[in-house]
Amino acid sequence: MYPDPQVARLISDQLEPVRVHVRDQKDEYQRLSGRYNAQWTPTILILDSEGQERHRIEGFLPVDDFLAQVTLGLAKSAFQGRDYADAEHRYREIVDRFPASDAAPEALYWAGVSKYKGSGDAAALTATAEAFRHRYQGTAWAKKASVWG
Amino acid sequence: MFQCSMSNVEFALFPADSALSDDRVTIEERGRNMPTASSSITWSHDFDSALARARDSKRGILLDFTAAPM
Repeated sequence: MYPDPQVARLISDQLEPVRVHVRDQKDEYQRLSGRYNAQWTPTILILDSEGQERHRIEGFLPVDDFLAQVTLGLAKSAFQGRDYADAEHRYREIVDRFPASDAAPEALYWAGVSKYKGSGDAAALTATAEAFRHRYQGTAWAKKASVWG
Repeated sequence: MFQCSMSNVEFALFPADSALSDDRVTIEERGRNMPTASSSITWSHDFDSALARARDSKRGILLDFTAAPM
């Protein structure tokens, strides 16, 4: 994953990359794996600027899925920080760039929520329910959005 | 160690009695992150310093717990 230029660019441009090795840094691994309850490798956490966990990736992923998951973590961080415009932009980027990824239905759902939270306009939720009628049917996120239709 | 590549994923097979026998290590991770010329991430191994930088810059952190060869 990391040698891919898109992955390297996303991480280098938007995040502070920290790597803790299970055996080469035993003390640090024990301290941080206890703090964040990491019990498997690879476990990759997206933390906000205060060190709070916002997203977790466990196990290896192909490049596009990994890019989608990292972007999902950035979107969740923006949402938690109440920057709803940035969150919506990042969630929609996942749907547009990685529509076949597992992260896409979740991103479509939260893009609608972000737009609603930022605007107060419930039409954002109605539009999201409508979008789910055309894609990602059968996912939990489509079921959750169905009440808005 | 035997190495092969498939698409954009590199695999490396290690002997069963190698140092990578820890049960926390997935087979996939044994092969990932093999150093290549295209890798451009500058990793920090000091979490506390990275957290201080993150607080200053308001950037997030990607924290990777790994057992892959470094």
